[in-house]
Amino acid sequence: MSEIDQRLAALFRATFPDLDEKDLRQVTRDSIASWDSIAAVTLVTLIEDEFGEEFDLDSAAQWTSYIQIREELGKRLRA
Amino acid sequence: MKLREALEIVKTPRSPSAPRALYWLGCSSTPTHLRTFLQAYLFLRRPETEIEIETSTYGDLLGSLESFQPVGYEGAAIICEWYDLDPRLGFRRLGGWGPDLLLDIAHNVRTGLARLRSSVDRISQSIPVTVALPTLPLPPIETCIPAQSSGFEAQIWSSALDFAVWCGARSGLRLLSLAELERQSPPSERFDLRTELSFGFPYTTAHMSALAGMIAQLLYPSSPLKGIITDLDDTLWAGILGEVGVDGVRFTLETQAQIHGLYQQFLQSLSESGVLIAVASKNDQVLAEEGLARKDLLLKRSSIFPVEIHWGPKSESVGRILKAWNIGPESVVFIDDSPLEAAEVRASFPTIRTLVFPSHEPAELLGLFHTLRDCFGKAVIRFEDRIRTQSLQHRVEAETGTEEATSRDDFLSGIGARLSFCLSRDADDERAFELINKTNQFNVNGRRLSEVQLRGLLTPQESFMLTVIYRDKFGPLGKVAVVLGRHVGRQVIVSNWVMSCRAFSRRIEHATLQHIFELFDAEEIVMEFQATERNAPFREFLAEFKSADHSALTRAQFELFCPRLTHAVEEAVAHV
Repeated sequence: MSEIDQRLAALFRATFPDLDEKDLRQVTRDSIASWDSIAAVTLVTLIEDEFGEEFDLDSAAQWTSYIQIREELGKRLRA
Repeated sequence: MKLREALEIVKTPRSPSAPRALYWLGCSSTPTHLRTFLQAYLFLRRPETEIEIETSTYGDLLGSLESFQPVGYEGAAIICEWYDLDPRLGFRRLGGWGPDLLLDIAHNVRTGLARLRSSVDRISQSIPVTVALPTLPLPPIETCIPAQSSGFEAQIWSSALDFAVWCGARSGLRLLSLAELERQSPPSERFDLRTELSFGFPYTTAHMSALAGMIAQLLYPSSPLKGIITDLDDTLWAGILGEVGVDGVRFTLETQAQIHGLYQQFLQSLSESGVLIAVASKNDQVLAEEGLARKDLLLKRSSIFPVEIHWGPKSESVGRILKAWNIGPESVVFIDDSPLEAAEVRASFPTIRTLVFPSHEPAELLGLFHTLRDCFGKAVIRFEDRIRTQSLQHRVEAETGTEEATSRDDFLSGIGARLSFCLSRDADDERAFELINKTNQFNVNGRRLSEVQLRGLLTPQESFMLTVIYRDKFGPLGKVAVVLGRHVGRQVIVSNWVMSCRAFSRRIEHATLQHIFELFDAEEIVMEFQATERNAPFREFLAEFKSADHSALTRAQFELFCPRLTHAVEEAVAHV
């Protein structure tokens, strides 16, 4: 697991304490009942705080999976 | 604190039996993260308690406040931003910003603050309330250049400051300091237009953290520490006494030693608010006493007690000072210009707080003052605070007198002890509240009470609060003891009983029991006793009556074992 993955996993754990880390890469908005609009906003705030990057908030609030977030974050960090 | 840390704190499981404390957060923006931060900071202050926070309706602070009923809450926090007083002072409405609207907006600010005042007045009569006045910048509503402050801005701040002055005069209200908030959260780093427009969060996470931390401090304040032990050379004054002599030590602007004068002045003001000040110095005793007797010293000699001057380790001095003060090292700050001395004291007393005096870094003096204010600050100065040093000196004199008297009975009968008992159900007695929440040694069970819990205990008709005021020929000690309980038939149940350690060895506790037996014509007093790490003095007191059951005492038993009591009871006021 890369350093970015580890940091992102910690943010997922903070937002969804019951999350089973083995399934992290399979996690989607539909697979976690507590991934509601508040959790979505919490997640994007945590990611911005942790990585010091700003995202388009309206799009970020619609993120649907760990994989998508990891890709968006990767693009931003490479840019 | 980062949001991630706050979430981790909030989501840490608590014991299922942990008591629950419910707070109310009034703010008209989306409260999610602010609530998380506030909950986290309150958890840190009350680790044994399950903290719950309910919030106001989104977008309607004043309306939510008007319908808010404080029953069941431990406290309320209100954050009032400009847009709560007129939505045109925010960014989520498009009601116009033209110059012709300013008069109307200023009027709305005034009437909005009047509504806020009326609600806060009502709520603060039942529970503690913390209020934060606008923390966010005004929108670009004015036509003048940013460098200029307009009449409009002055007018709305004038209304807000009138409200602040009113808050300052009310006991159940704690106004958040905008100056301290500025120190912790610079104004230019508070507002986030992006999150405000997308999610209705106007605050940056750093600002939310600062705001929530300060609110938690006001909703659940720590007990202030009790004493400062200070060094002399290069701390209380500049110069080494043994080298420059009594007239050679400096503490003024003219002698390039103003920071020492400011330090003395600060200690004197702390002393006048009830903080104990002692000296621990490696010095020649005669010379140091002469130095402390200098008339131009800003810290009065009478404000210092005791003075420990010798060439031995400072930890020995600290030990003796703590004994004279009869308090633990965790209640004390030790200040010395030498990090080595500070470390030596800390090695012997790990819970003492040590600070290094910045004798070569004048700019750091403000940091020292800020830390000391944080440790010793109190909202109200009471009579007991003003006489604390003198009454300690009197206690030591009285104890010395005991050794000289032929017997304890003879000694106590000769000191002219006078007691004044006051029976009431007054939950607003701030001194009683302070005693209940900071007394450790003579404490029936160590139980602390919030303001709301105290009010609840004193609500039933059969409940009572008995306070005890003491004086003798050595001077007054003020209000020294509090008993909370209830009487059922001829039985009295004591749920809380505390007595200041300054009042030990005067049989005040015996006289208090006698008074309770007489007042309620009681046959038995049952105490909700629980041993704690610190309440050995209470256990020893109960043991005097040789009761098989530590928690119950009959009148017959009391009369059999009670020593001779010679106090004059001056008055017994009843306001039940």
